[in-house]
Amino acid sequence: MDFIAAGWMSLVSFILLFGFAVLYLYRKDHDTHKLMFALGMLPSALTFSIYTLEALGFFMPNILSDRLTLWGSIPLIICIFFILFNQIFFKKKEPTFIFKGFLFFFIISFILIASGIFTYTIFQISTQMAAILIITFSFVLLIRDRNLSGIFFIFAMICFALGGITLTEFVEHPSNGTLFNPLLCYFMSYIFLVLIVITSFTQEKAKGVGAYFSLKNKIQTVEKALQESQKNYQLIVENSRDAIMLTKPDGIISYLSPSCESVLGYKPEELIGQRPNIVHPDDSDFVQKFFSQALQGGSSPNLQYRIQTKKGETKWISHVFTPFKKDNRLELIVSTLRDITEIKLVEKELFEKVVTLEESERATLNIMDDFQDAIGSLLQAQEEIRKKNKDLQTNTEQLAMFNQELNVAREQLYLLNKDLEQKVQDRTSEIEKLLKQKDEFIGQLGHDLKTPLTPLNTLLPIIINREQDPKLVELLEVTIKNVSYIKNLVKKTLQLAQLNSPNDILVTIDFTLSAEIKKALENMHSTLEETGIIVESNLDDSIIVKADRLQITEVIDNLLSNAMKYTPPGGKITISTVQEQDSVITTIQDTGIGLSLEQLEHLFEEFYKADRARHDLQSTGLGLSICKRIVEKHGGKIWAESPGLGKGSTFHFTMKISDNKLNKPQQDFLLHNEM
Amino acid sequence: MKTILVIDDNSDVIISLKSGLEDEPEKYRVIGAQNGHQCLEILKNNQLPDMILLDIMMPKMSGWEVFDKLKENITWRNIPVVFLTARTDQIARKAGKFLGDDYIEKPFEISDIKSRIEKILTSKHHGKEVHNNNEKNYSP
Repeated sequence: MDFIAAGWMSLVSFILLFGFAVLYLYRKDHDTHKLMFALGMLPSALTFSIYTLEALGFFMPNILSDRLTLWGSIPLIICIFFILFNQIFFKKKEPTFIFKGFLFFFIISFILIASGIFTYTIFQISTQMAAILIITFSFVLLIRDRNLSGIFFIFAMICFALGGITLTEFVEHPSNGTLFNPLLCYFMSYIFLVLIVITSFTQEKAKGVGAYFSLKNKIQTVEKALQESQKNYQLIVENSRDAIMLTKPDGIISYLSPSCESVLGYKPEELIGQRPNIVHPDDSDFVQKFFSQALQGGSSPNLQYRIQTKKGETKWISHVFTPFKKDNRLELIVSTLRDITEIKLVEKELFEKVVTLEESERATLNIMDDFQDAIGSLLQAQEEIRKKNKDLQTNTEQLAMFNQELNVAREQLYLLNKDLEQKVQDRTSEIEKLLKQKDEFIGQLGHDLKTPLTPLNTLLPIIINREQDPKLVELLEVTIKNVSYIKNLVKKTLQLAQLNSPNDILVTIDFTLSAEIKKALENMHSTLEETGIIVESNLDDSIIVKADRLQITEVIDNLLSNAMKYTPPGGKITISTVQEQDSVITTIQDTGIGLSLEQLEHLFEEFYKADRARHDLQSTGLGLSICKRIVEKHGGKIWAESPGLGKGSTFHFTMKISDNKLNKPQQDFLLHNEM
Repeated sequence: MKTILVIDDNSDVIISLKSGLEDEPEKYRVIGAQNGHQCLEILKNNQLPDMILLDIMMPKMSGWEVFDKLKENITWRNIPVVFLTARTDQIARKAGKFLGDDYIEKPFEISDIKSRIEKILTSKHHGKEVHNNNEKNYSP
């Protein structure tokens, strides 16, 4: 294969490759210049492929080859021309007629050349003129834009021109030249065109000729995307719950997003263009300090502090800010402000909870410690219990035996008890029966003693009245005295027996104590006059007692008659009543024979007589015993005092005063008192 | 002169009272009965006494029974009855109400008997007199 043919073939391949690359670019941004450029290269590729075929020795009809050769350069020239024209005159806005004009010239030139009207000479002249114009325009653009693509373009155009010249020379004088020169020129021109395209892609913003080959839509898309992202940013900024703030280095707010109202409690327009101080006074100092430090350092920390809203509420704010610097100078501060009041509250609660939790944990640990100790001692105790249990088992067995024995004993005891109870009951009823019998016996004895005494007591006085013999009268008097003694003895014995009997019941009524004493003194009036004993009474007439009147009268009679009996003529008896709380003490004092200590000790015993040597038929020795019994039955006390024999004696007895002091003393239903 | 009917199973008591009271023959006349039946016989024979002295403890018919019989009869009802007893514990004094006009404990003194009889009889007589006076006051 010929070297020249290989050169043409590789040029065709290069042009086609380049054309397709431009076509590919056209498909990306639909820039008509790229389509024009690709179409312009098509006839060139055709022309050069004819040259390739001729160089390979294939026969080509002259007319076709000549005309195709002519047409091969025209579209590219037209295209380049339009490009330059457009660059110079319509820099900013590209008119739509360019592509249509190109297509028109593209088709017209083809028809003209194909019909043979357009001759080689005209072609030569027009292409040379066009080349001069193109190169001129290129220089203008290069001067104006001063960039690499312009230089490459001039080189490309010069190479094209040189290609055309050398090719024409070879066609006209084939013997003088070779096809190597035009081939090299065309190769170089296409390489320069490729370089223009490459530089237009490497440059950020294509200028001049290169602008046609840079991707126009690339810029448009970027702009569109930029617009869209701006829109998105705006949407985000304006609809964000966080307030976004732009601050100038001097602290004046230049922008605030609408949500600042909900976050800071102020409307954006209230704060924009100002340097407001809304930080809580407590936090103000540290916030300012922090900001100045942070701005110098250029960091973007997260600061949390309190602010005061327009309404005076306190809010917690989280403030994230980023300073933007240009040439090491602060230009802008972008801040994001977030309301974290609720979070703070929750945080606080949480903190408190954690503290409580820690405390309880500590307590739990303590408890666990104690628990472990307790378990330790528990285990020890368990061991001990196990040991003790063993002992206990043996003990329990013994205990069971004891229990059995105990049960038997208990049963026996129960039976014994029952028996005892029965016995006690029997005894009690027996005693009751005996007591009844005793009462009955005493009653009967009294009756049987008193009945025979009745005729004696009645008839002896009659007999003594009728008897004339003084000796007999004397004997009768002794008899009467003894009968009287027996009568008294029987009467008093029975009375005492009756007082001691549990069947004896007191018949109590309210009466004036002093009245009864006065009555008793009246009854003794004659005797007192005979003996010349003086009676001094010191009685409280207001004292009313509730008692068995007959029995109390008997006590008074007894004590008074004793006093009279043992007081020598001319002596003195003092009787008095004194109230002491709810009781009355009656005192009968005499200036009589007095009492020895021994006598005082036995005075109230039954059948005790102070003077044993004296045979006293008037005293039964039962009077004071009866008095004691009566007083005690009334719940009172009786006692005697004496400084010694011959020094007189004093008798006291106490009685309860009646509750109804206002009541008049009742009258006894009996018509008289028995003496 | 007052007629006193004495009822006692012990004849010695009747003799004692008879001799004691009839010591003043112009004042008292004593009729004796040894049991309740005799007493009722005497009363049925229309020998109505001015007063009855009645022993309580008697065989067959007690003084209480005789007393009931006396109170059942219209003509005998108004005769005052004084009990005679050696057993004061059997007197109904403690029941708060005494059935008879009075009671006398044995052994008694004649002087005591006389004063009691006088006291009761005068009070009865006085009551009648008052009644009569009232009648007179109402006559035209």
